[in-house]
Amino acid sequence: MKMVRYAKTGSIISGIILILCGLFLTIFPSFSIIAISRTIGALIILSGIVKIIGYFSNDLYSLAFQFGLALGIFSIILGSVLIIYPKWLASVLPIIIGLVILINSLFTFQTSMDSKKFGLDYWWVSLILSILTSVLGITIIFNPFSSAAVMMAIIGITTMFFGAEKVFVSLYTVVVKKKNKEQEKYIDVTEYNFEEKRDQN
Amino acid sequence: MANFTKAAIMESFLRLLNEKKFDKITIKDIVSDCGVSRKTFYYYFEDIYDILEKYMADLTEESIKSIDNVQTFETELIKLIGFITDNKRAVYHIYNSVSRDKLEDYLYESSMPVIKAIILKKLDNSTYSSDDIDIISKVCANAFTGSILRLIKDGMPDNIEYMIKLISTIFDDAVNAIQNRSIN
Repeated sequence: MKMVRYAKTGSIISGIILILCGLFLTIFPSFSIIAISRTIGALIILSGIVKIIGYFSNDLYSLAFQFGLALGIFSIILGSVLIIYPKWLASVLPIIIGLVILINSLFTFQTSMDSKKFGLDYWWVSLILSILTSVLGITIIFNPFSSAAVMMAIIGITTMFFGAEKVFVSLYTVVVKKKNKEQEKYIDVTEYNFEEKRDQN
Repeated sequence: MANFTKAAIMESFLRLLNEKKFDKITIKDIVSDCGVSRKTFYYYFEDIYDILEKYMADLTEESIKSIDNVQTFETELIKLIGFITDNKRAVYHIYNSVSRDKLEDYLYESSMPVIKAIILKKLDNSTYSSDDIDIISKVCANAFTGSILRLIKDGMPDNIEYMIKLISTIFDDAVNAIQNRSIN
């Protein structure tokens, strides 16, 4: 129960930080690339930890963190690289940011399709946000802009949308439900063990 | 315990089916009602249609469990419609959904073996072959299924048990009439 709460809160907080960082980048596009690299690296690590916690939590809907383990590990590795080698990665930083946003948004795209099948009314909000963010992510990767400042501003806007997507998905699809006494007897598949499987067979 | 979880999901489904139309029930509704996670739901079922199918299959299995101890048409057919009389709204919602055939299959597949067992008992010493008995049983099971589906369509009148008594009388008389008569 606590883990879902931590994951939900952590995910909302990391989404809000992303929105604020995006806003900052949009207003100050000429900010130091090394500082940006380290800040983004730290954010990616935080988001990775939250994803892993979310994956192992007993989230009732199991939508937001369904790919949490793989994405979480990937995020922690990538975030660490961004913090350790900011100079080395400076020239390819936009591509890395674009790829991270694109990958995460594509998973959100799949989550929104699953939300529809699951029966969530506002599944289309996350669908629109994920498509928009994916398109912006692709734009960042291919960089059609001549000025670095414009590019940074676009990264800032994309990061804001990415943060909004994260906040929406966390608020809308992560559910903390206290089970009643009767429901505590039910076994969720995460707690499922071989003995019970054998009994069932 | 694992089957207990599966049964709890099915119970939630039936509870919701008694409240809203089948086509309006979502996996989210069941998961929220039951308190198991979405992953757990998908462990046992593919989708809403799958629950209905498995629920009906379980009901059919349950109804033919005591096939060796069948009594009269009346007692057995009243037992069979127990699910319908206890869950009128749910049944009405299934009837008015795209999965109506599942209800039809349940009625036919649960009544056919029971009716056949009663007929076999009644025509024990007759000259009818097993194929003949099979045909007679199918005619009765189809008559029963069709009559019940018509009752559901008509909004299920309160005197449904009286109608079952009439249907049973017709079956009794029909089987008694052919008992001492050879078709050839």
